[in-house]
Amino acid sequence: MTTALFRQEMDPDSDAPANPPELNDRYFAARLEMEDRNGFSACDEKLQTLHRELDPLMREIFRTPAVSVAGLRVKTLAAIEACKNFWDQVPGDLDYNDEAVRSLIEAACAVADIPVPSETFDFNAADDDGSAQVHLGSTALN
Amino acid sequence: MSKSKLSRRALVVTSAAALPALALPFTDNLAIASNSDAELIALGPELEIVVRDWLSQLKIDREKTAMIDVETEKLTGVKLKDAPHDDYRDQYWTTREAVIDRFPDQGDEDNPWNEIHSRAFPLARRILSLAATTTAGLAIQARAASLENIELWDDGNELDAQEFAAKGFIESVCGFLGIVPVAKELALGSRGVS
Repeated sequence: MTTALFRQEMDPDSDAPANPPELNDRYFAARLEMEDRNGFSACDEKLQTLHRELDPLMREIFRTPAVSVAGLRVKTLAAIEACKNFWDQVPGDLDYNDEAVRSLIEAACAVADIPVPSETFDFNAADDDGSAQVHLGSTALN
Repeated sequence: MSKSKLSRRALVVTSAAALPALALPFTDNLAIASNSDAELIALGPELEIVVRDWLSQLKIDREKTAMIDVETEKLTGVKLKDAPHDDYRDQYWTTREAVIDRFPDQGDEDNPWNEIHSRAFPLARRILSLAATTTAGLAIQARAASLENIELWDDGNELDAQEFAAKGFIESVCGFLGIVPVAKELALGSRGVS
């Protein structure tokens, strides 16, 4: 029954009424329980803590002018970290403004002698056979 | 029209002497412009012409918007910042619509931005597709990236962490090279610094 109700909500052409509120409550309660059980919540909290520490540092890096190549190197590394999802897609699939930033970061990599991040797009994303997706991970900061 | 402190000539002739901070292996390459850099440097003046036209049109648009703001405020007694942004049926907005209608409608075909965009974006993308091997080439790429992302400098545009980083990075590269992002050039110009 639950599956059927969710299907109704997901089908844009369905005339069925929206899910009753208690069903949504049950869904989110079950989801929270699952996230606690499989370790996602603990992991997410650690990531949030990391971001809370990293954010002011990143802002400080971008506020401080770079007057040397060493300074530019730090800024380029920070930009790679902040924009690492730009290498999840081939350049032609990115929004033009993101592609422009990615290109400038890669150009700065040449100046600052930093390896250009590897593309991490999913090679098997277009496969319909359900095969595992490959995610190589950025090498720039490793 | 706003005029940049950065002349086309300054972009093209950026040299090791002009950038003393660049005591790095890259400096050794300054005199050895690759084919890619030669094309980049050749595209620099073309980009600056597009930037000039872009900023001129932006200035025209801003002046027109300022006139609409003033006229609407005069008629309603309400400043734009105080207008109800949750109710566009409010008198402020209906009045503003009427004020806008007084200006001649250019229509899509005559919209000057179409022609500017049709030159700007392909050129910026070509510039950013090339590999810079000199600071002069990198400067042209930084200007192109700042044009492609000009909305990051819009007043009141709330930036997420990634947009903040992208803007900060473009400004950092520009600052490092002694140039300014395109949007800042307009701000400088409007304060009479040119």
